[in-house]
Amino acid sequence: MKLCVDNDWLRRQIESDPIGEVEAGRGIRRSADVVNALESAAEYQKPKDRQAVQPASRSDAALGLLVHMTRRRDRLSVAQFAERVRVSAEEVAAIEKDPSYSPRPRTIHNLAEYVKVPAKSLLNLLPDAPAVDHSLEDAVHKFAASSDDLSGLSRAERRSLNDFVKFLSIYNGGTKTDGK
Amino acid sequence: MKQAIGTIPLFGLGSGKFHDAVLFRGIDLATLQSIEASWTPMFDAAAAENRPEDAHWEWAAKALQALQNPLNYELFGIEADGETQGMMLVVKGGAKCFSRHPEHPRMPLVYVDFLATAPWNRRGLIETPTYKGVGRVLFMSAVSLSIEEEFAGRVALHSLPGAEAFYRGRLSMTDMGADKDYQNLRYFELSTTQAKQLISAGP
Repeated sequence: MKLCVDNDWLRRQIESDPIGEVEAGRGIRRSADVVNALESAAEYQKPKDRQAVQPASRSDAALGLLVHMTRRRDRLSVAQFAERVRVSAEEVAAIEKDPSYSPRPRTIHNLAEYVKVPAKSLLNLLPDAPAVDHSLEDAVHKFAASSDDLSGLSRAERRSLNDFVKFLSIYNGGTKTDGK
Repeated sequence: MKQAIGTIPLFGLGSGKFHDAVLFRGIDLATLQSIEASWTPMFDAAAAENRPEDAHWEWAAKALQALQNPLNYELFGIEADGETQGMMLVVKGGAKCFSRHPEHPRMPLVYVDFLATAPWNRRGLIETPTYKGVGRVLFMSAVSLSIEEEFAGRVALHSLPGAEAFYRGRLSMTDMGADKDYQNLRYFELSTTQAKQLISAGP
């Protein structure tokens, strides 16, 4: 990672900053505080913790199903799909198999680019996304109900996938879209 | 596990001039031991007599080993004079990483889980702190990470009461009020627009 500002910028700003406190978040006074904070952050990746914040009515598998059906539509293996989307094959497999897996934000961005829907719509499919309205849930349930795990997509499945992608491409979550 | 990002300046309040320090990404056992040896006794005088036993460091080493290559968080630290001058943990995914800002509700952002400076750099604990600039450098690391993650510089945090003026006034973050779900600490966000303005800010 490269800093987005250079050392001249830092010197100018630091020089005019007052001498004061800058602390944020949890208190760190000893080494155990740091390790506990790291463990808490890591714990959040585990399914059991994410279940606690998951809205009860959200369909668990929406993102995984979307990825799985898109991959089948394009007749790609997990590895081939991962290469196209520029993420690791392990992560694609995790998205498909583990409904509570929360992908990296960059993965969401790349998936959205591939499926041609706004990244913001895909964010609403994540297990820890805040619930917004019923139209998304209805669309997800309809989409999930139409799917069957055959090798290629049937005509009905293809129609269902197209409808869902179309819905996601115009879904704005009740707010203005920002063009992303 | 612990990698140097580069040399950055900190302002020495005793010398009245800038000194070189190193910005790191990641953490190792030596950093944890330096915090326990230097930070903890200044927070708690009794701590010096109750140094952690070997079992503590075995636990810490195992924990760090298990926490390598994290997907959803990053730890940054600054070192100068052989001491850890400050640390910051930034989370990149999860429930806290959705914007509450009216400019872009629910857009992804990075959330600062903690930003902490060494006790000798804190005005609240010591009359003349050693270095100024630790918070500024760590915060700009969070903005840089947000840009790297394609979050356009968006950053959120819960400020401790003594630091609110810094985040509101010096970093131009939006003060979104006290958060009853987080010990009533005030929640701040740096929006996309504010991030652009901050980076292009003059003196």
